[in-house]
Amino acid sequence: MSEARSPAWGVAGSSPFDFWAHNLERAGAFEPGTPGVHEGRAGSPGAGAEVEFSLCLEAGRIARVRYRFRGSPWTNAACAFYAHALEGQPPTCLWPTGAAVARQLGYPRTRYDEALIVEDALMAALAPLREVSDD
Amino acid sequence: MASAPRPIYLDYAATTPADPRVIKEMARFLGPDGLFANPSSVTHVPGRAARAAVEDARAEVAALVGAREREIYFTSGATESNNLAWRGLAAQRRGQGRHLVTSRIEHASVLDTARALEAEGFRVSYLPCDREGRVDPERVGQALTPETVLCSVMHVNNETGVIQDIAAIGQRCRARGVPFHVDAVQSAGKLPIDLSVLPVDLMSFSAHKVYGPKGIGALYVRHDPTLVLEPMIRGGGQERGLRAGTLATHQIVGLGTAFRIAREEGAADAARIGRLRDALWAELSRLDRVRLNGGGAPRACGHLSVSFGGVNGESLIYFLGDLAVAQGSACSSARGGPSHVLQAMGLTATEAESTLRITLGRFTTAEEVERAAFCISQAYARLSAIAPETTRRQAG
Repeated sequence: MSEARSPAWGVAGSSPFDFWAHNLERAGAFEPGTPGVHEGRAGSPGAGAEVEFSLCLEAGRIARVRYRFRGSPWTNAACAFYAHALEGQPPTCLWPTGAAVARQLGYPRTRYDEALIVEDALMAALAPLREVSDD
Repeated sequence: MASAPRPIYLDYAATTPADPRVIKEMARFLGPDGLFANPSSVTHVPGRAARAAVEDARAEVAALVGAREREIYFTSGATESNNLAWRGLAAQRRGQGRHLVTSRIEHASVLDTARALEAEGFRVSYLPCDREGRVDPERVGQALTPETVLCSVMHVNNETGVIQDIAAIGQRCRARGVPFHVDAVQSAGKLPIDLSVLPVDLMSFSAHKVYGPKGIGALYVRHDPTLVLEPMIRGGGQERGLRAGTLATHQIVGLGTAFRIAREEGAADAARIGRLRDALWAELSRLDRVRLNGGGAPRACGHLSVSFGGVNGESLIYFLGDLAVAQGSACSSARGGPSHVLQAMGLTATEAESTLRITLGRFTTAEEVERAAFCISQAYARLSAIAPETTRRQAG
């Protein structure tokens, strides 16, 4: 297996959290019937956040990412951050943990769980793809 | 260059801007050419002038609520008033009983004080409310025992605006000889209050909810029969020994002026604000899956507590831009977590988290209401469209 390249996570902006929390560019879903879409979800109404990630693969890479969420701006910030960073990456890429994203975006400790739910949704979407790649 | 539009402030239940007439009056008591003297320094003319201003303000507060001047004590705000009412009476009557009665939907300044007293050996009964947020006076009556030393129920709920029947609750208390405290922070100046006929023994007020300054409030203590409270702050014997500390003349004058304006203009204000509030709800009620909390109960003029199914209120607020609304009360927002008031009304934590508190006030305009309705509708539609399928199915 070739070593996956880590995405470039850094984004210019005076307040990383505000930048990503306001960003709804990739929020939503693909058109029904879009080929190569893999989905994963995590969270529940009782957990305070629910996230669904949809990854569209083309030529072995994550070409486009969409997500849906119900949660706070902290949830959206992590979703938007991951979605942006994953586009163009192979499914085997190394992505930062939810806690690392939370730290990078300046989450208070009490908000870390929302980034972890986002990471779980992403892992659920990526897991089958990584298994295939690892073979 | 055109200036950016002024943010739309719809969080009047959290605090109000001071009325310019209040600010002008307060300024007279601050500078070297003003009436800045200590109102307790009655040995000289400036001190006596300040004292007169303080007593004029006391008369204004009393006039708004049908009290006598000597029944009004100045405090630093409603939180202190609530603490003084509870702790002052509990300490005074400790030997008579150790039971207190309140509701589950009170402000944190009451509930936290109740819990602190529980830790000191008092027993507190927390009464439920119905789905509309009303506390049943019958249940209050049933909760009172010979050990009960205080019953405390707020007049208007700070989150929903629901009005409690304090006359009926007070009658039950009076019949059992139990002092009745009312937190009237959200009702003073908005609803008629006549303490000469209401069976209420203690009532808390705040200036900054009535277009006065922050940092000043008052406690009404009935004098006939005389209710004795244990002071919480001791020192110079101000406020007839109940609340020590140099009287903040400018703040007190601000409170008095705000209450005078409320007495003169409150009814007209309330009618206008109520019309704007209803117009806003008429627009919001067109949206899918919205619910007006407390909509089946009498409510104060400016309040709208609206649950927006399927979206998170915190995110909704985030995407409202220059629209200032709240998710719950300012005090509960500070501590986080779903609203205890909405959960007491039967909403789930998720439903409570999807709720916005929108409160209008004296300076709200029809144009702002129109813009607010548009902004909320747009943000809600956007967030609904990107909610997970599971959420949308449940909300639908």
